Amino acid sequence: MTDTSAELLPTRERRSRRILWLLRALAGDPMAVAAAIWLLIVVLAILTDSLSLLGDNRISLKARNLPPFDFGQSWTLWLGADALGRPLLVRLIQATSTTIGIAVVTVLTSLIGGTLLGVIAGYFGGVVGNVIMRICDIILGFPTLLVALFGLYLFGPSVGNLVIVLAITRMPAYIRVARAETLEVRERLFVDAARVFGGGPTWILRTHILPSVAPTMLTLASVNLAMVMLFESGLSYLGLGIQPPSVSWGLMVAQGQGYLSSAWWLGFFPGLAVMLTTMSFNLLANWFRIVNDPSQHWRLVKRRR
Amino acid sequence: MNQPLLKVEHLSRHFGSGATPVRAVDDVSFEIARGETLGLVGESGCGKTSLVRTLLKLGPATSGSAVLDGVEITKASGRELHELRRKMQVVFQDPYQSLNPRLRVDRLISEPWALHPGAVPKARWREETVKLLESVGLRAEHADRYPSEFSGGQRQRLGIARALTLNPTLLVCDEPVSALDVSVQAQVVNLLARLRRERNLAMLFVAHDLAVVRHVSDRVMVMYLGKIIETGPKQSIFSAPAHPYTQALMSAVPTPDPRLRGHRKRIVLEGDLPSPANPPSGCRFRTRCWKATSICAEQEPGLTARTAAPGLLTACHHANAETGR
Amino acid sequence: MALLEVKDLQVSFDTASGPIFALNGVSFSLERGEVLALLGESGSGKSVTASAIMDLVPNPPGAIDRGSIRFDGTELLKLSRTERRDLCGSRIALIFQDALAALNPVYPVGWQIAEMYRIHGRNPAGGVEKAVIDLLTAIGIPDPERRARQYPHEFSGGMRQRIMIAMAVALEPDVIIADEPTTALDVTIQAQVVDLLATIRKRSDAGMIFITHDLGVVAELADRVAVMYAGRIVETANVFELFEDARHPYSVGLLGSQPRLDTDEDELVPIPGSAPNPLALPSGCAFRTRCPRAEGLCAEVVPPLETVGPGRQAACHFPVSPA
Repeated sequence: MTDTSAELLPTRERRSRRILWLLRALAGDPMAVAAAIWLLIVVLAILTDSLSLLGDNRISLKARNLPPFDFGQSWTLWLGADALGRPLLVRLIQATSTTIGIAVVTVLTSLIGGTLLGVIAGYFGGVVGNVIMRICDIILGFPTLLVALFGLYLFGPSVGNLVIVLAITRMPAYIRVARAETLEVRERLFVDAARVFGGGPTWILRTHILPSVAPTMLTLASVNLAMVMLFESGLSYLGLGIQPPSVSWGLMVAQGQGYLSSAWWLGFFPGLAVMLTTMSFNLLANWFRIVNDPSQHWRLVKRRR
Repeated sequence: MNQPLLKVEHLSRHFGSGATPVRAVDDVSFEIARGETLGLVGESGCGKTSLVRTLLKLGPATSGSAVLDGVEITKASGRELHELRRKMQVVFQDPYQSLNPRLRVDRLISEPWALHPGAVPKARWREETVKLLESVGLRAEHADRYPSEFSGGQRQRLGIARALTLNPTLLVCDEPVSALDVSVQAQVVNLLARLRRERNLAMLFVAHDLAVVRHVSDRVMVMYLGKIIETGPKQSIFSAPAHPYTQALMSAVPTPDPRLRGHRKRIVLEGDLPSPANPPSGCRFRTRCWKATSICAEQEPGLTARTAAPGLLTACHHANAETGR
Repeated sequence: MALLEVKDLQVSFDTASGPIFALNGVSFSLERGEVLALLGESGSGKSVTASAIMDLVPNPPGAIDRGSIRFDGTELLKLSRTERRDLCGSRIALIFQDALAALNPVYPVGWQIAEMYRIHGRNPAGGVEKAVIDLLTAIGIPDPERRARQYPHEFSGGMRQRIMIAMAVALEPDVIIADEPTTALDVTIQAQVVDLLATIRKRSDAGMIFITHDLGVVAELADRVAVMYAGRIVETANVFELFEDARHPYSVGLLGSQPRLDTDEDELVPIPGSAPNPLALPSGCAFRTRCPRAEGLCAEVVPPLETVGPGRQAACHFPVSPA
């Protein structure tokens, strides 16, 4: 009995075909391309900063309140300078790692914590499940910003507290989605098959449930990155987030607020950075979701008709 | 050994509590000998899926017993249950749902070995996987693929290979070919027959396609609304069924011969399946039975030999090879 | 003139790995009062044929590349969207495979049947309500006045299927297309549905296209059969001829691999291999990789659908000899 239908290409060739296809799919969504480019720039900024390639951030009274787009100056001053003469571009790049770092750590915390709690609630149900869901409801009952403000006011606005507060307020969303997905996967035949082989709950959770739930959770996380960035910016703007001398984009927007009429670029460029990054995360999350669902592929890879 | 491999006695599975539980499986008794194939037919709502799930310990039995090779399934737990699982395996209906799409084939096949460390040492997993794949008509390179790259028939073969990893003595097949194309069904049916001969496997073959059951089984059981209403060797059931429901089932199967069109006396059952939460008193089939009389409402007929057909047990007060229709 | 005439229909779908030709030059015709069975397995293109006639091919990613569908003289593919929609549903009706999915769960059943009349602006004598009750009675639903007010989930699977059939024949269409109407049903319910379809066929002179993979149902209902494989029609014949004397090796294989209730052969004779990958169809005849009669020519030239007897055709270079 020969089966020709599984006689597809060997593994290596399939992999390179897949990569080519992914690139085509990316090209099929120009917004995603733009988003990817911007995020590459962001990553570059983080690398530049961490490798200390930036050079001068010294206060220079000569460059005080220098307006942007004066290409005669050195490249660092192309976005202008602030009241103390520090080049804005350099400050922006320095702030990148803080902003992105906080966002990523927060999202990772709520992703891991939320997924685990949600999967446990969904698989076991019963008292444990109920307790977890009620705690979710309680957290959801309070508006995020209020809880954040309150928490940070009480415990002091440190980076660690910021991450904890943001992660906790974001977690219920993950828990609920993870639980819903688990409830569905739990009923699938391959889970039954695993139980008939003698698989216990730990095995099933680890081998079958978590991998099935992962794509949805990652999509949720990528959307959440944008939200967390905005929250952090808002909190820094209100003075309860990042404290000077550390810098984040949100903080820069706050500091630039007083100069809106005289040195507009101080608030504009950081705000633009926040906007572009959150938009990029959202666009890529959208693209990622389509790529993961084969029935939607036609949106990305079209043929001429 | 003359002891049956599987002995089920008065097994029941009820859902829900209170006054009217859903009696999905109600007081069912049967046996399977070593190397024998018992076919189980019935339509949706008859309880065959619940029976399978209860036997596989995917859900608790409400009462009764099921003994596999001396071990009481309904009461087994922990170590004993784990050992029991090696003897009893399952092939599910839906080839697209019964394999985890995210796992590669070699991972899928070795899962039982990962769960039973004593069975096959890890160093030999690859070798044994290839042997199993070849025994079901697939090839070694298929071990590195994902289920989505296979057709329905091939996936079903993967499911069969996986079920054989622990060398079970009883294979429960829950509608293994229903979701497959006709030409592929025949392949899988032949495969199961060959494996059964080679390994002296006992099988419980659940299906709604009577023709397939006829090809595969030694003995057949017919279920209706949670009860076994007729059982016997395949010859007797298919050539001289005595229970009206069995007769209706047989006559409803369209025979692929257009010359018989219009000449067949087809029994078309009136009405719908009653609710298993509230089955009719006495004989459960009486509400749709053309032979029903008053005794059928008062007394539930027992499963006994009522006709001359060898080995045939029927639960009907008016059991008769004549359909009288 | 045939009631429905399909010529050289090609339908393709865009996928990540290239186009799939679901229908690859399909031609057949349907006369008044005739039941034509489209017999094939998964991937043969039989359901796509129904979608193409009813303008249900999702576009994108699918599209009708070429071909013609003439209904009662009118070329369907040249009609506008609205004109096509008027025709489909009133003069050409489709019975779906999955009745539960095709019925709207939030409207009562009687309302949905009445909707058929309303949408097409028909006013049956005696009023729409009476027509609905009559229809429900005709399909064997007891206590129709009460049941017309119930919702789809309150009916059993078999009844829902019969309700769908009722909706399809409400407007007395000229063509009824039934897409696997018995596949998801239990045997005894199948028998009810097959009976109902046979009754409908006797009472009206509508043409019926019956899409299935079940040989038994074909034997019960069909007048003519068109066997499909990999997007092409490989054999057409009247039903008696097909069962006794099939010419295409695929038809022969299909007939031979079905287990039968009335005989007790020891071993089934399956068709080796499995359905071809639509992205990588074998060159020449798509069936050649599984065909015991294949020769060199089969790999090079696609066999055309040729006449092999009065009123029958087969697409094979080496058809099976007449019995």
